[in-house]
Amino acid sequence: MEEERKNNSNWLENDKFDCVILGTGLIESLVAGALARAGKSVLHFDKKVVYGGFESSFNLGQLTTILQESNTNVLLDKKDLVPPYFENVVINKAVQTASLKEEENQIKQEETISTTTENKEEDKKEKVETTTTTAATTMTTENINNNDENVNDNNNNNEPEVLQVIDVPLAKEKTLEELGRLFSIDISPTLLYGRGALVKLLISSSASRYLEFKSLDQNYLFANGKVHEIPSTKGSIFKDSTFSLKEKRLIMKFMESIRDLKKEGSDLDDSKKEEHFKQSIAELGKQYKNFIDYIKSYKFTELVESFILYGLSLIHEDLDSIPLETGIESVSLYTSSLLVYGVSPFLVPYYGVGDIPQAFCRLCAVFGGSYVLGRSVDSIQFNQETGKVESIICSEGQTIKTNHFITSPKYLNTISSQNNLIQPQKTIRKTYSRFIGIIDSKIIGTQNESFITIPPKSINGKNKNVINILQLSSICVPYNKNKVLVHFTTLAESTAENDLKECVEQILKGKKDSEKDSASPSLLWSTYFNYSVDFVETINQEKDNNIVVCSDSPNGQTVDFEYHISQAKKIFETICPGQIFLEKVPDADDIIHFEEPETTETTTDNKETETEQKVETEQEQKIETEEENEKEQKIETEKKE
Amino acid sequence: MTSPATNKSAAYDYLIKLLLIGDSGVGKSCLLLRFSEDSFTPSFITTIGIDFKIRTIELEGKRIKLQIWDTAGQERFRTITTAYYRGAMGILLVYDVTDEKSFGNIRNWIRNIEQHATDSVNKMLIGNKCDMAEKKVVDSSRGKSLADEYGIKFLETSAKNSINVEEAFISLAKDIKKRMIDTPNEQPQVVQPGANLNTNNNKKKACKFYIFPCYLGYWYYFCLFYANRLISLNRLLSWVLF
Repeated sequence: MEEERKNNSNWLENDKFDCVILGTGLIESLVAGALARAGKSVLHFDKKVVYGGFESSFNLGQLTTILQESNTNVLLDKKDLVPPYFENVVINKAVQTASLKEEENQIKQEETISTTTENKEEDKKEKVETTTTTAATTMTTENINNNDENVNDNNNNNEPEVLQVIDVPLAKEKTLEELGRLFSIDISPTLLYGRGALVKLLISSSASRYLEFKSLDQNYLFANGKVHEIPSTKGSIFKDSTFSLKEKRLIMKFMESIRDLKKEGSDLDDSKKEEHFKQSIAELGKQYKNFIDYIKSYKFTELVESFILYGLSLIHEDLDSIPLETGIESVSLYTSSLLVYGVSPFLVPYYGVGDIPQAFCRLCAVFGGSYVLGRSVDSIQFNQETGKVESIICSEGQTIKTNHFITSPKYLNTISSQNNLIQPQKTIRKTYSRFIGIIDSKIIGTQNESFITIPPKSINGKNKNVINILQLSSICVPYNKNKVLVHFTTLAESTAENDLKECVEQILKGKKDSEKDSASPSLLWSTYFNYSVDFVETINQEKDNNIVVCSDSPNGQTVDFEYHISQAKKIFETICPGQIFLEKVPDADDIIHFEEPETTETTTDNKETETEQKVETEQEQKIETEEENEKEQKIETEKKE
Repeated sequence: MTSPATNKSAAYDYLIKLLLIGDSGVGKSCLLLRFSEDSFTPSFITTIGIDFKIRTIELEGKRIKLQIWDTAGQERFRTITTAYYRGAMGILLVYDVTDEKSFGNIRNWIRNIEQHATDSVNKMLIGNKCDMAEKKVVDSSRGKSLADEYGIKFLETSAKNSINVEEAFISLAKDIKKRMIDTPNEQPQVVQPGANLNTNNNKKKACKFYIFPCYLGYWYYFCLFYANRLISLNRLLSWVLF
């Protein structure tokens, strides 16, 4: 900090780096971490002051600001956009179900305003304000808690009073604004398979020390206007009441056949398993064109089919053309991840997805990488003879020599270069529609941390794509405060609001099973927005120039990061051929200054299985309490269900 | 949050996560190395390779494992990741008594902490390099009054001459132990793949499980299947018949 202010043009002491990286999205962060780990000197920029690009998490205040900014930015200067930024943003505060009709009218008004030009921006803000005030006044007959909150919403300028609220226990509930800091809201929420690519990488690179996760409680499938639990164990398939006995039999058969394909649980070692799998796939490939074909061959009923297609396989894009191998891989990943860290096969980052790129940035920093946020590269200078990048000029004028230059596609527009050597990449753009809502109770029929999949055409037959819902109510939200965070994500057909509004209403209204069920949740805060990611198809192989453009992290609709990792690996290999990608860092626990019991040697010869098993043992110990008997443990889990 | 180790024979009873925060060059890493390894390297340019250090101490009959994290050089351009603050129970705010600016920046760091760390985190103000009396520009009384303003403890230390380093870490650990252990709070279960925070290499127990996962597939399902049979014999019977 000191240096930077003293001398703007030379704020970095070192002006020569092996690699300069633009953007701190997950792919860039993985690359940065790997390069630094392999001994390269790395300078990593992000134009925004936060880490993570589209894989970032924000608290409520930050999110609101960034959403509002995006709305104006889009209109002002399209060139200056770096992730995360959004389109078609609509923010609603304190929408009450009771006054839904009234709200609808207001939303319509807002909508018309948001589609008009920039100078109406101020009007819009005013409208949002009136929305809140009317909501608060029409609410007097509503329950007291909500009422309090809304009143507080309107007087939150009154700070001394606020302080009193904090000190007196069991007095007024805190307002959403006050609690806002405690939220951790993802731009692109993601689930991780317990045995998925990222979890494996976290273990093998020791980056897991920077992160904490929570096992998802339950996943659901939305069918016939209701949420159905997706049974996570064979046992719970039997107990399930959604399927008939015949259907259950078929599901078992299917899962067994998948397991046989992968030879899971057999004594074969990994390479043989893979070989076996490839052979079987090749054989199956003769009979079936793709995954859908294969599933159809089982002649499932419609419900079972959607259970397998949407519940067990979580590939939710281009459903008609999922290759056989990918589909089966996905189902077997699901089944092998079951009961690894909990009943559900999924993990959710404890403090939001945003911590994942940060973990790899930290790893990079630990190995000497330099981080600069809120600044970027203005221009690139090429060597006239070789046509390669020679140096970059930072936004504050310092010239930095570099051997490699890695950037995410959105940054390309922000850089000027003397000759147009940066060719436009072959990219595919995917746009997602998102809804983020804070509600006051859980969606009816779900558990705390839940994932709900809505198959196409199941919301009044209208939704064209799968809609995924992630509900978080004990992590990423103020703990114990009756606040629930819901994320809706789908591939965009039009604006986020058009894509998701009906779905949000239907899901929140829910369908009560019995009188016992609590009332439908009501929205305290919500937003709709779209964002687009660019998917770079081919990474240029550094031969023509030493620029690598990596994808904007396409997030494959909320499940795992396999693509990101494979792309980061490719990039790493072009720069450091033959080196290990994110080699394990020696454990800090090895250096201990207190007599510790000697760690005994392990008899396993294979390193990898050893780590795997370690994970297993830890989990066994964590999830179950002090139970000694394995069988008893399993019965326990059963009973819980 | 303070995780009581689940195993009776574990090498520690509680794990406490501490952070070091402060400007570049105030001697955070030196403090850390002095405390964890009792060593001192005068020529540290930037922090490379220090992630965190571990030292287990004994307090009132309990073994406390202190996990102390360093900024990894990310404080230089104020790019400390928000993830750095997660789960921190105590923070040592360090300034250099010979550098006025580093003292002035303490307020900024406190603002940062307020934004990203939990409200209840224990803080402590450290004026490092107190051995350099002739170059001292920040008077002890100013450090004390700043600490009082925020209601936190204050110590002047020297990593070089090993003055007050032990005291600083241990007194912070004591405060945290008092706060966390005497008033436990319940939080949802945390999963950290591959880490051994709670288990701490208890191989005796682990060995049994080592063999188990290999046969997970069939074994597991068999157990579940069996368990289920006990619970809902009826339903199963109908399935068998079918």
